[in-house]
Amino acid sequence: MARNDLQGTLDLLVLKTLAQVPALHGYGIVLHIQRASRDILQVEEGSLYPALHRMELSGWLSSEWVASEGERRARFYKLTAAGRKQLDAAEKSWEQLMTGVQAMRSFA
Amino acid sequence: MKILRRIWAFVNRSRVESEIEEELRGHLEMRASDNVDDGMSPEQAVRDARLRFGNPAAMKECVQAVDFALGLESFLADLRYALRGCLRNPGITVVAVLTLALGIGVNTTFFAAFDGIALKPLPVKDAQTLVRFEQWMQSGTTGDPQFLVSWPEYLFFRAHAQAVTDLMAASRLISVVGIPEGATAENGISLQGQVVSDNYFPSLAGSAAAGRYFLPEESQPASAPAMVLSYPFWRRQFQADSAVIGKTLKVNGQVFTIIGVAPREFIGSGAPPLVPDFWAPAAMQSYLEPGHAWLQQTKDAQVQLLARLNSNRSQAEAEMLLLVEQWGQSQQRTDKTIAVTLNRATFFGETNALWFRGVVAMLMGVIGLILLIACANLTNMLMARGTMRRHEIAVRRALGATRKRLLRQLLTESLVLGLLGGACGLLVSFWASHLLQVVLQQLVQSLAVLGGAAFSIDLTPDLRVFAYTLFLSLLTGVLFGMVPALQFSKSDGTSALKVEGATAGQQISCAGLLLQGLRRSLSVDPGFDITNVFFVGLNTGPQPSAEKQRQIMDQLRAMPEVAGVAASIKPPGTGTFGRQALIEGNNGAEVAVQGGALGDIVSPDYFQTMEVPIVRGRNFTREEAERAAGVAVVSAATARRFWPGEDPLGKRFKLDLLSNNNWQQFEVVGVARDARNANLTRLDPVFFYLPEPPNQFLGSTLLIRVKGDPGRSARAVVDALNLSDPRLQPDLVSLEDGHMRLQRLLSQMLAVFALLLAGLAVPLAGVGIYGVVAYLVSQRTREIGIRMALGATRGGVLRLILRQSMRPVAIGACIGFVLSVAASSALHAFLVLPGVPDVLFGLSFLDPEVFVGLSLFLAGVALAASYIPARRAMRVDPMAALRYE
Repeated sequence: MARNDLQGTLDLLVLKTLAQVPALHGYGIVLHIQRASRDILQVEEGSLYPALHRMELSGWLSSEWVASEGERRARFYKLTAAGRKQLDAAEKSWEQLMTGVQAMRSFA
Repeated sequence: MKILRRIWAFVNRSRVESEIEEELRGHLEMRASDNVDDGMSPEQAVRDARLRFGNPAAMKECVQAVDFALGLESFLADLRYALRGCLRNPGITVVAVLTLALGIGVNTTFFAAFDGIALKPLPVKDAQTLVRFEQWMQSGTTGDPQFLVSWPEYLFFRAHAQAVTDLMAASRLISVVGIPEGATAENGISLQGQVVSDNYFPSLAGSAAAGRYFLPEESQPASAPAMVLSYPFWRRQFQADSAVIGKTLKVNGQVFTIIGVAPREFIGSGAPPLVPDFWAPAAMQSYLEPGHAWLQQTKDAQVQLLARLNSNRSQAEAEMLLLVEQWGQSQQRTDKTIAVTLNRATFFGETNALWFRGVVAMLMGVIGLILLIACANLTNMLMARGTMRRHEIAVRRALGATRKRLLRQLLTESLVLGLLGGACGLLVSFWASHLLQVVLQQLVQSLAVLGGAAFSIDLTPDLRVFAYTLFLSLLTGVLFGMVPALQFSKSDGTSALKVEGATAGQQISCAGLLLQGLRRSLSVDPGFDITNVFFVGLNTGPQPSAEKQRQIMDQLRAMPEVAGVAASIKPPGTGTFGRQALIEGNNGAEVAVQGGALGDIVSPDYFQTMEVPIVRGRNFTREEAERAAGVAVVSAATARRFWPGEDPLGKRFKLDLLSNNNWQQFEVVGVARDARNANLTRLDPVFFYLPEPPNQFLGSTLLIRVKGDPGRSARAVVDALNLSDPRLQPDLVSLEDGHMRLQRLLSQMLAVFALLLAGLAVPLAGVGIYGVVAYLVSQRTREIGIRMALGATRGGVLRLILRQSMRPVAIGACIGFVLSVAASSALHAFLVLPGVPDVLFGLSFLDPEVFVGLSLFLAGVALAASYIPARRAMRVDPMAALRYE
């Protein structure tokens, strides 16, 4: 059975983002999700951070403070090997959910 | 990893908080600045950023909760749960905590004692760099001679040593009679003085409690004698009155000025750990020991050395060894020094010796067993409770708790118990080590031979002791926390019974052996009269004279209270000289005596005075003594050892009496009955009695055997000695109250200690056996009911239960006994070196009396412990049991 909830969705979006762009800060992740989903998905920006920290504690992400020139320093997140595995699992789970929902909708 | 990061986050709470704040603020600012780029006004931009973000304060709380709480919160929940569990079963908790408190308390106390003896640095300035000189001889001599060098040798080292600084010298404690200013000669007090080199106080002690230390000129021989008092003596004698500075104190008739008082914490430099009453410059030595001035004597080893290490240790040791060798060559020393060690100075000199380490390791093992019993008992109790909790655990697993989570919770519970037990154990050990210190203090002060000097060891627990207790608590927590693991396996409690049996067997066999040793120490015949013989050291003025000594002896002999008077180098029981010896074989070849020979130089009336019979041959005569004839009396053991099956009379041996390679030949003229001169615990393996040449003053101990009431006669002797020479200030002590007491004390202390441990171990084991058998009975109630319904008799049921409980106990006890045999034979094989007392008095464990007695005792305890629950099994009502089926 496909396990899903809102938190799982947010996790999937963050993991996928970091799989596409190697290192990003929180704000960058918000922008990327918005852009890549063609403005359909708007993450509630504040709630991103508890998720990021939880995922880091689970070992899926690693973080690092980076100061780039002329800008304030920011915390950049990266995907770890465990995070990559988790992304595979989350994607599979999501596909199953979609298939299930599709099947329900097309049931005559 | 995760838990580490949480702990890290928790410890660095403020830093993590500020980082979270920075991260969130950064986000808001980036959004706002993008908004401005998109054309909003700054106010609008900030508002929009806030709207999109949500409440930043609430978000911050959320993120913090992720970082701090998850792990700790569940840990705190476990902790609360564990504490609630403890409160729910107060009986079990109290018993568990008390059991652990005893186990941990005993171990902590022992460690505190070990810490005080071997680990604590001396309370001196920069104790970390202070080292004590110790040399290792080719002959394997151990003990005091390893630490002592002569004063000229010290000066030689001090002039040439480069790798150490502040090379200091301190003498033994010297017993003197002191008369404070204003007191009369009758009010003299017995004092312990120590002479030290000029750099001793500046290097070791902080600023003086009153007055000052010695000036450089006061260490010159021609200067006026000065002394520094120790703090305890200052308090005891002068009520800590500073007005005492500048007053005088007469020592052996010589006036010393009191110039200062050492600070309270400075209690000497240890080895032995006794606090002198006063210190004097080395130049004043001859006033303290009139008749024995050793400052010029190149062969009279009298001082031990301390130094500051200012380079690497092995380099300094190599340099010292080289210096010792150079000095030894210039003195034609025969016993070569093969190594020098400079170990950190502690209270005792011998804490690095192999035998000391062996004894400590053995004791630690023995005491550790008490804790093991405590753990085994707790395991039993928790297992019994575990059956009740099996249901609870099953429910929790069904509700989704992982196995790891459950184990963590159970471990938290046992750690809580362990830490509670450790905390109470620490209290137990505070009390016990205080008691130990008081007892030791009084013991030491009551010993006449130590002259009433104060014991300087401090047993108050320090940081090391706390760390050790914490370690033990955690260890025990984890040890009996493995109960759940046991529970899932098929343990039925019999292995616990084996542990109980083994530890109890081991403990009581140790106690039994040591008690037997104690019995022997009290009843052992030293081989000479000790109750009526008193000894006195004679200081016959600056010029010792054999004439004077003979005069005093003749005077005493004439007294009606005196049955005999003899002279020897040292009173029996104080250890004897050990000298290189060569035994002449039949073919003329000479064989060296392994470990050196023991002996004493005595006057001809020694044997009659001490009541040591000559069993063969004859005593040497006064005439032979006077012309220093090469004749000797040997002990019977000596004759058996070197001339088995032969007539020892007329045999020859050679001795290096002054250790200067000047061998003297002796012929055996008589054989004396065996005695325990060197050591009360063993017959002397080799002992030579040599005649005292009257013109060579070698010994100054008089042995006086009195008639009638010993106390009254001794007082008469003291009065007579005082009359003949007021400078003598004799202290008459019987052999029994002197060194014999010291030697018996060791056996007594060990026996009391072993009894205490056995007194702890046996009831603990009894309770443990009771618990396990009760548990077994409760589990088999139904089965017993069915058996009884089918016709089993009560006796049959009793036998069934007892058989089941006694077998593992018996197996365990056998293991324990075997361990003891191994330990006691190891003790005999490795630790009983020449000169080291044998606390078992030659006893072996396979003494049938001990073995049978102990087995019966242990069997009795185990039977009594299993009988009560077994009786409950006999009373099982078959109908009630069957109703369950």
